[in-house]
Amino acid sequence: MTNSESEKSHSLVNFFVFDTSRNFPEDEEYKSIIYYYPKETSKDTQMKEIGRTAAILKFSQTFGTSGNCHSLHTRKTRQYFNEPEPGFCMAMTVKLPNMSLHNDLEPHDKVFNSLLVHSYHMFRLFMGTMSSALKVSEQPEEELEQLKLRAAYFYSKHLQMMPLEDADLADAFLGIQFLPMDKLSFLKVRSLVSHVEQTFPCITSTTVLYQDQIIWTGLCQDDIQLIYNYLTTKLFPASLSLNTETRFLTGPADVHSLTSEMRIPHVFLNHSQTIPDECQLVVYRIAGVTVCLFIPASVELDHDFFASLDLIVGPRIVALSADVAEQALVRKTNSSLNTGTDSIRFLYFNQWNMAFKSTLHQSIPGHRRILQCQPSANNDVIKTCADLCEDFSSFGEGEILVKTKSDAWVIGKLSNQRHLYVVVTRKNAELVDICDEVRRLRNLLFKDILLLE
Amino acid sequence: MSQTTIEATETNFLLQLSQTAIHFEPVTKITNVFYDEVTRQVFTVRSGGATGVNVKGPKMKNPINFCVEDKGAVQSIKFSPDQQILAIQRTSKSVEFQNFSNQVPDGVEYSQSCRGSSTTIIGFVWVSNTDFILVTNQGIEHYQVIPDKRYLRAVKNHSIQGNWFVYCPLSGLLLVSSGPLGTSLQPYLFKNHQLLRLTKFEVDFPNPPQPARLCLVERDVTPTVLYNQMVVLVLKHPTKPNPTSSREVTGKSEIVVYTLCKDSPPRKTHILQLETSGKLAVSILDNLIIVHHQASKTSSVFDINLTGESDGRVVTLRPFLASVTIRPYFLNIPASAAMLNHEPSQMSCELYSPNWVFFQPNIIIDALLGCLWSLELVLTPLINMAENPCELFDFLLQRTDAKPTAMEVLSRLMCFPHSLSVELPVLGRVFDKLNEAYRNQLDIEIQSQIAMPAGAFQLATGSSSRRPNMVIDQTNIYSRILSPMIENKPANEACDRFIVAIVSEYIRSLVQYHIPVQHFIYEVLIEAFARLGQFYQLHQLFQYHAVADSKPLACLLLSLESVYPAAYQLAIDMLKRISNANEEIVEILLSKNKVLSALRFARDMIPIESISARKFLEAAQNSQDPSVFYGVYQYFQQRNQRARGSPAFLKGEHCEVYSRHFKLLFGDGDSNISLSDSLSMG
Repeated sequence: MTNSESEKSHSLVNFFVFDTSRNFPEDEEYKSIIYYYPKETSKDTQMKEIGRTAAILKFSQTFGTSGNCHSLHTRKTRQYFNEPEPGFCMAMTVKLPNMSLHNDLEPHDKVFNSLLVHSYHMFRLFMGTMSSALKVSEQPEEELEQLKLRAAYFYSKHLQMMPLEDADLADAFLGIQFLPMDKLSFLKVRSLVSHVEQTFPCITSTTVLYQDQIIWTGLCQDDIQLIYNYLTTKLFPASLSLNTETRFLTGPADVHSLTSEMRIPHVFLNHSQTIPDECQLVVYRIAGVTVCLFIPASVELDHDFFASLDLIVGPRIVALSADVAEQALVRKTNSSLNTGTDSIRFLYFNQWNMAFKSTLHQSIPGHRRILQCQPSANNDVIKTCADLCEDFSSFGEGEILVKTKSDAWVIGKLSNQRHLYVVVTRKNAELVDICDEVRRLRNLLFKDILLLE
Repeated sequence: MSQTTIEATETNFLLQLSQTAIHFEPVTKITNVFYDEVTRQVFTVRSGGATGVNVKGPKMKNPINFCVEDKGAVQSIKFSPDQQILAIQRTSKSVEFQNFSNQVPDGVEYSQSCRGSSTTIIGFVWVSNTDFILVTNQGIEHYQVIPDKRYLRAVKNHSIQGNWFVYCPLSGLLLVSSGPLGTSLQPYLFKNHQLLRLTKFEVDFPNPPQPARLCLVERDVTPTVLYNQMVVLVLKHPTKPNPTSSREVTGKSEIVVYTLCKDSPPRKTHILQLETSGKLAVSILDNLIIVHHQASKTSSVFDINLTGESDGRVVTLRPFLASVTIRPYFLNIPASAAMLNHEPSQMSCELYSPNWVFFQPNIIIDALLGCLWSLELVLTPLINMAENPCELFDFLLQRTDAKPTAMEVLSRLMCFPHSLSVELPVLGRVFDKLNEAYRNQLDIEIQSQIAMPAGAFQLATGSSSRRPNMVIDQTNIYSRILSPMIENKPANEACDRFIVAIVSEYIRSLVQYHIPVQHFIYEVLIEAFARLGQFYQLHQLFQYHAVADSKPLACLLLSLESVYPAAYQLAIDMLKRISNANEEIVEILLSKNKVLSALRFARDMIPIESISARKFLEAAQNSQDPSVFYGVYQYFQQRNQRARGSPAFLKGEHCEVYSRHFKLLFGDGDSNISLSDSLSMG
């Protein structure tokens, strides 16, 4: 990244995780550092940063009125804090772009805080909780060894993928895109899932996607939110480089070869339970349909399992995918608003079922979504949406209409946990026209749900 | 097509003889016995009728007894269908008639001879109460009997050199064999007092004997009706590969089914492959073909509506059930005879006896015992043979009175954990079969409700929606299977997962056949999801509208709000989609203390006069927010102003208490805050 580029967008100054419950001797305090980025930072600087963070948190706990401190604003940086588990703390510092040039690029606390929290959730998904990595030992520093290894393994990769430059409200919502389809096709998918689970009783849960959209998931909401994010931002993009014949995105590379290498990630699910479930994640894809199978870690998966899965499930999915693909196509061409006309776009998120839909963004299977509003209004508009979202969190339900500097109207609405942000970029539009436009959009796309005035 | 063999245990008999046999005097030197398939009567003729003729039959309440003069050996004797005229054949040249009144012959005989001096009578048949057909070796003679004049009027004569004939009273089809081999079959159809000649067809016969002799015999040809279609069954015995070879015949017999279509010649449509050869007989029962094999004392059951191997023209079928046997039958011995011989009062009857004669459609006569039975089908043993449920349901759906059996089979397929062996896709296909019939039934009901012009009606009834024999509807599934299952189920996760799977599959099938799903079926699913705690999965079902909207379900969802808060959103969305549930939405919003939202919703959706001011004012007062109360109060005052020219409430609206409350809060003076200001708040 060149110097000038780094000045235009946000960049990561540091990211660290440390232990707050153990008392190390004064000269060994650095042992409480579980992970620190950048790695090259001197021990001294690391200790100073951590000491300062601990102090800020302590201070805010003592004098704050509304719970913990989440962020610290300075002229050139923003620092975000998170205490993911008792006794552990994590923090991330982001450098602001050159303020005088890009006044509108001030980061949104809600968005960046979400990135930090999300980084922990992803860690927990693949590595288990931090406390589960603790080893029983007399020496406090030895207790943390395993955790340090895991954190280093996970975060060294995760931080590279963190979308600091173009994070927006969508990253804060971290919603799920469901595939719109008719009930019969949906019930057929359900029937397929039941069949798979009956045939292979070791499967505890199944999730089905078509391209990048969910059709069915047997997971709980918290888990599917993370798994969906993992699939769409990591596994699917990575699979683009795979041979198109490959059906198991995780599992044996070649199902017909007995000696084929197995690569099955383990994930930790159901964190609301006292002991989360450790599962193997088998991802099978054929004809655009992806089936994710969650199988307890204790079950040994042999070659036969994959072969018979391929044999039994493969043909049924192929038969089904024709249906699904047809529907996906019909719906795409039917509603011009879904693809987004230039003058009116929207972002919708339902907190109750995590459903997310946006015509402000363009989603390309296998790639991170990109904003597709008029280029000049891009940041302006999506930032206004985030502003409104933050307003709602203190203000409650309602509707807010704003006109941005770039002459676009943004209408934010929160009704019964549903967020709807509509952007109208029409020259010289009156408020009445805007309201009419929004009503038209609602009657077209949201006629089946109750969005209160 | 699978073939299933049944063990011969007590409960496993699919066939039985009717409990009440008809007893008649057995055949002796002086007693002759005749059976008429048209009237289903058995005639016992003693001494040529001089010492009595006794007529009995399954359709008759009381036997008829009479005497006729002995004018020689009786060759054939048949009543007209209304029992008003008796026809007796004693010679090969003529038939004599006698009129009956009150089951008593009037004693005056009149006679009809066949045409031509060299003609001999093969037989005769009553095709209606007055239409009489004489089949001779020269042709078919159709007469109309005029009993009052004791005279027969010749109607029509078809010339054909017949070998033998068979007649099917169900369809009125008369089949005459001609040609030196007897393989040339000429069908005639009796309809509206006319005998129509249909297209002749040949039964192919490989390696005909030289010189030619009769190869196809009467016994092997059965005209009947299957699924409202006229068919002719031809039993074909294995042929010797080489006429000169003395080797034993090792081949197997088969039955060829010729179907008679309206406007085209009879066509070979099915081949039924038998496991045996030798002495065979056919019964027709409930559209099934039952083939009895005397040597092995077993029967095979065929259903031409089941799927078989097809070469595009002819479908080859194997028996749906092979090697079934008739339930043992015990004959009651008259008490005096039993006492005399010190024998038990019952004796077992020899089944598949060489003395048995099979008549159409399902009559069995043992001439030596003097018994006539009808063959009956018992479906209950099929419960234990659910290895191939799809085929079993194909079979059961075509039977009459199969519903109890079908329900029993279904409840076994759907029961937990036994049916874990039944694959869900198989169960799904069974549901599809049931729902196809269910759909047909609904279509017929809809058609009968729509008043249609006479012409259109005929068109509609001619469509594929034949009234199904059996309909298993959602109430049956619920009350007979799902409800008992939930009551007795073990409290474990596996069982609830199973319920979710089967009910989803059932709903899938109903939706596929465009059958509206009843809310109690959904309730089973929703409750199972709730027991599993899989609310997010339930949510997806609603999200995809896989659950049809209804008020009862919206209420069920509301009741789930305490355990799954999002259910509230689902419920209120559902109510919004139901056109007449606006009042309910208002109530819910008010109960959530969303007074202004409720009022805005009511303003847009409900006629302004019918909004109850009291309800809103009460909620506004309870909200403890004066600005809310102010807004609501002002709104209704303005409404009153517009509607009646005065802001005051009517007496009947019972709003006095709120007027006082308003005065208490804001005094009498008018406020400057306008309605729209307060309504846009919150």
